[in-house]
Amino acid sequence: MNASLLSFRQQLRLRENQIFLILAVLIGILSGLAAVLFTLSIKAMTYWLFGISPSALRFILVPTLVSFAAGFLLKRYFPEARGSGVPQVEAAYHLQDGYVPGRVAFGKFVTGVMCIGAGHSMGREGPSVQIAAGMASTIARWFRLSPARARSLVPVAAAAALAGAFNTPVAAVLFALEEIIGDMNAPLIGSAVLASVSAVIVERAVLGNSPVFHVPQYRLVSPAELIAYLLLGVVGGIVSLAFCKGLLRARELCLKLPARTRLIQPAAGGLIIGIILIFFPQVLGVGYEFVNQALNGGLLLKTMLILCVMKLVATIISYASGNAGGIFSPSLYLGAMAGGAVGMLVHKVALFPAGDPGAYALVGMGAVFAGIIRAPMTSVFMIFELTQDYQVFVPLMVANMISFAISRQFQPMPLYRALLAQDHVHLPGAGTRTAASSRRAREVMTSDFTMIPPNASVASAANAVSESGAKCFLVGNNGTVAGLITRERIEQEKMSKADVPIQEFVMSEYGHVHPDHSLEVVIDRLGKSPGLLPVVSRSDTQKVLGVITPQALAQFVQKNWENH
Amino acid sequence: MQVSEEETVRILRKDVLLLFLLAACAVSVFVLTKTVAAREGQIESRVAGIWYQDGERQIKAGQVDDAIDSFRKATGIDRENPRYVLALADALALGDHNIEAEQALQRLRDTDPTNAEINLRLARLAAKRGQIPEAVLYYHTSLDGMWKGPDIATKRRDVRLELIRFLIAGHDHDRALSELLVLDSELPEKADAHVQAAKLYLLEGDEQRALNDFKEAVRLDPLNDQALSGAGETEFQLGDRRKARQYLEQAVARGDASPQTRDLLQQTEQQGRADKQGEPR
Repeated sequence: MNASLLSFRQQLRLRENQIFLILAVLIGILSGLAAVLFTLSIKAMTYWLFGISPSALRFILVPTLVSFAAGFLLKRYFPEARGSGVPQVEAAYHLQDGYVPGRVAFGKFVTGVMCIGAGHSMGREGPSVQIAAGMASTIARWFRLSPARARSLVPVAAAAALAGAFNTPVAAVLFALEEIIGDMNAPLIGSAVLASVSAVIVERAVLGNSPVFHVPQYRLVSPAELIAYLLLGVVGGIVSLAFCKGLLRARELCLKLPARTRLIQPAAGGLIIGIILIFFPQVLGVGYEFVNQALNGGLLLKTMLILCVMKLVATIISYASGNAGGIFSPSLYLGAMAGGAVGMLVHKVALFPAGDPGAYALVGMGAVFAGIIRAPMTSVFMIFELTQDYQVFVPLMVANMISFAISRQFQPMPLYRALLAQDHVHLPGAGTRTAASSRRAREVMTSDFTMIPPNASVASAANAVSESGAKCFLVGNNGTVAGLITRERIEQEKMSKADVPIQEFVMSEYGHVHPDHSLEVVIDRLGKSPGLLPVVSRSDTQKVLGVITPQALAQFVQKNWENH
Repeated sequence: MQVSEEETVRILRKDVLLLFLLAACAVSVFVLTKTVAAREGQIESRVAGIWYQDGERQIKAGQVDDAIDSFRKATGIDRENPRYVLALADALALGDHNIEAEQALQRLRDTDPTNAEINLRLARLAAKRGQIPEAVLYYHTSLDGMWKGPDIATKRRDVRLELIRFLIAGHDHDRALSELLVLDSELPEKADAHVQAAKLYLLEGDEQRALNDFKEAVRLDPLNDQALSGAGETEFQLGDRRKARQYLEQAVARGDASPQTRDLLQQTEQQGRADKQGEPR
């Protein structure tokens, strides 16, 4: 390599470093503006569609018809824009080098405004994150940044979008680190802070320095109140669990419906939401107006309990039916209602002096957010930024940790990851990401495997595998696995059901690994397998990249030993 | 060497151009967003105004809960408008939602701590809830605060009168008296104002100062029947029957036909006759 070429490369590397910082600021500004524009567009859409005092017929027609139109766009042009946007951004960051098509950002903006503006009980923060990530990814491609740099811009944009949408710059940075990257020590913190601050500056320049919530002054009236906050943590955990389980179950049911129903599922969800809105217009859209009322003691105990249940149901329906919108603000809404209700009860029955119910609503927001989103540090700092009061820290941490622990105990997989898993996307865990030096499944796997077509008869399957010495086989087509079948089962069924398609006997529940899983995980899962461990793609868990058998593992060990 | 440099320059030029375009794009989006925000602000102000008017109408019709709902909608849309928050706080206080009313007012006070109207409302709420020290504090902040509109002195005097009545009702006579002395020093050259102060002195049991104010009121308006009867009553209480009779006669002559004044006049006349009969011939 000659000196001139080295100099050329050094200059380019230097150029990328310098550009990255400038881009962090510019993307921060653009993301903040996009988040603000998204918020304003949703408001404008709501006014335009519902007017000031909508009739019952309008409540029914608007969400149904607009969701039908959004459903068409989502099915036909922007399938990646369904739901929140945060899981999609996480998947893009971890599995696709931060690649988010610009088309997705545009689609998310349009469908998000339609769905949330038409009354769906969904949040604007998740979509803002996806819009910003799409913009950042597109800009990175314009500048032909290296894949690592392009990938790094995604969480930076996410932090800026959240800061712009929520006016909490520190919590936004923590969210990017804790949730998107999954590593609080990520070296991106500087650029994320830069982008987040840029976003908040433009947000304030456009909307003024008005907080999202008018938060009452926090007071811990007596130390005994911590017991009440502990109770609030338990309630927060239960609400979080109900939401996570309910949402996952409802979405699973919707996903199991025939693919042709995807077009009308959002409209069906819209119809149900319309019916709910007739009786409970308070659950319409983002609903921060009512969070403010709960924070300031403006709602009765009964009202808060009803709204908590109705918001939970409405959000589950809106999300599971495939509309575009997030769960960030619904989780805050649920927390405010549950917390406010606990606060009122404590006021009525507690034997110790207690603070205002608004203070409980505030801590409840953090507790439910921590339980649903599973980002406890973000939650603590978000509430702290809203109150700007250190006194809130201890009760908040007590309630958050209890809620977080309950939610994690009964729903081990965080909600965003579980939603991705339903779409056959498995994100790498913290262990997989940090075990950089260990051997990976991709080194052990073999791509030399037999795949039996699902419609093949048992007899033909028996013929196909007769030459092989393997004990277990994949059943599927064109690299897409439908299940596993053992040689023993084939032999067993061959006697009486030789003409029956093999798919009748496959094991559809089976263990698998991803190419980046460590050898430790491979050994553990292979031990529990019927003798064959498929290695599947993280971005599509039905796509087989290879298989690992005990023999392949033994060969790998032998080869390593010989090399040494 | 030449090729590498050219390539580097080309890439850097492209970078600068793209950065310039991005910056221009950011400026354009900013202008667009600002325009949209301004337009939406106008729509929101209009909608909030409609809810506010609804609330006003409902308050007048005695539908307090509906009014609270309307004012809540108005403040939910246009949170920065103090008129809406004040209307909401008033409606909440009327509906006995005192905690929420106080929180709404406190939020306003945070942004404008010296606003006399806000502090006065907080004082009234605290008074309603029996929080005497807080009420007095807010009354004083209101008195010392910034008033808007015409006739500020009258408004300030009315607040002090309200504070004095509150203190008298709470049997805090010392503080009530000191407030009365301040009020006295600020009274305008109007008979009614002096009559008002004199009556409060009477409630405080300070007949001498009450008499001074009644006399001042009579000086300012010799035809003021309330000042005349008040002066007469006070002179009677202080034991000067003659002067009391003079004042009471004038009060009755000027049209004060209240039974109390006539009764007192009768008493002074009887007393006068008795005194004459008892005098040595």
